[in-house]
Amino acid sequence: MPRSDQDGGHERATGKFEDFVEENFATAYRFAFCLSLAHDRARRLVETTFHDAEDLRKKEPRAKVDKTWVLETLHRKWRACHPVRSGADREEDIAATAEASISFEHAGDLDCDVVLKILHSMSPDHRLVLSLFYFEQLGHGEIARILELAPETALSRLAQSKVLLRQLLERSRRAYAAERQGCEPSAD
Amino acid sequence: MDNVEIKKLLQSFRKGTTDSDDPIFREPLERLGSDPALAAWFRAEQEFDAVMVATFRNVPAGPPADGADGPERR
Repeated sequence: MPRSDQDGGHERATGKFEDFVEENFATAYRFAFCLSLAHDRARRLVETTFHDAEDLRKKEPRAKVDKTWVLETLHRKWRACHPVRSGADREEDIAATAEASISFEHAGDLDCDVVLKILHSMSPDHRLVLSLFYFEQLGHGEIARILELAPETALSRLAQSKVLLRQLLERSRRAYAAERQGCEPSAD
Repeated sequence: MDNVEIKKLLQSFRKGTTDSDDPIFREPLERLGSDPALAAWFRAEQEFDAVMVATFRNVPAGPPADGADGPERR
């Protein structure tokens, strides 16, 4: 029995959506993990987001469901369960202003796992802008859109977050260097 | 615009994107031509960004194979 055109159309649409998921999974998962800091929660966030994407594409084939939509939706879903506290992290920001920052030469020597651990130890305000800036290489305009910030706020937050990251990386580098010095045998 | 404000904007600047055409970056980028110290600072900032992008490129984007929860690891 010949296949109907509808069957062929459905298979094409399914195939295209699978391609969409494959293209965007890494981006989605990285950001979901940065939001939730736990693999099971990241998995759930990603699953429900792609489920919503598929539903939306079926209902509104012309809807712009792309990488930015995925990141916006992930953030919105996470925010629904984690309301933003205004004025949070001020103490952390103020305390960090006088510290030394890591140079790019030293930053290049740091292990990826160390840098990631430090990024994930930062508050959501900081780690999300940095994640979008460094992982996804987005500009401040897109970052503002995804995180639902005014562009000026995204600019300020990004600048502040980069300063804080460099200070934390330098703190980690010095701590490691001091530890190594303490462990090395004396020259006597 | 003072240097503090200029640096705040330049810290977000991404070469090779629409940032180059964004009016918000016009004055900061022009200032680089006349301020060697600022230009040197900007070069170092861009180098740091390049190092971070390269570092994060090595991060796997998926759950660990052993199914463990917690911080993402290789």
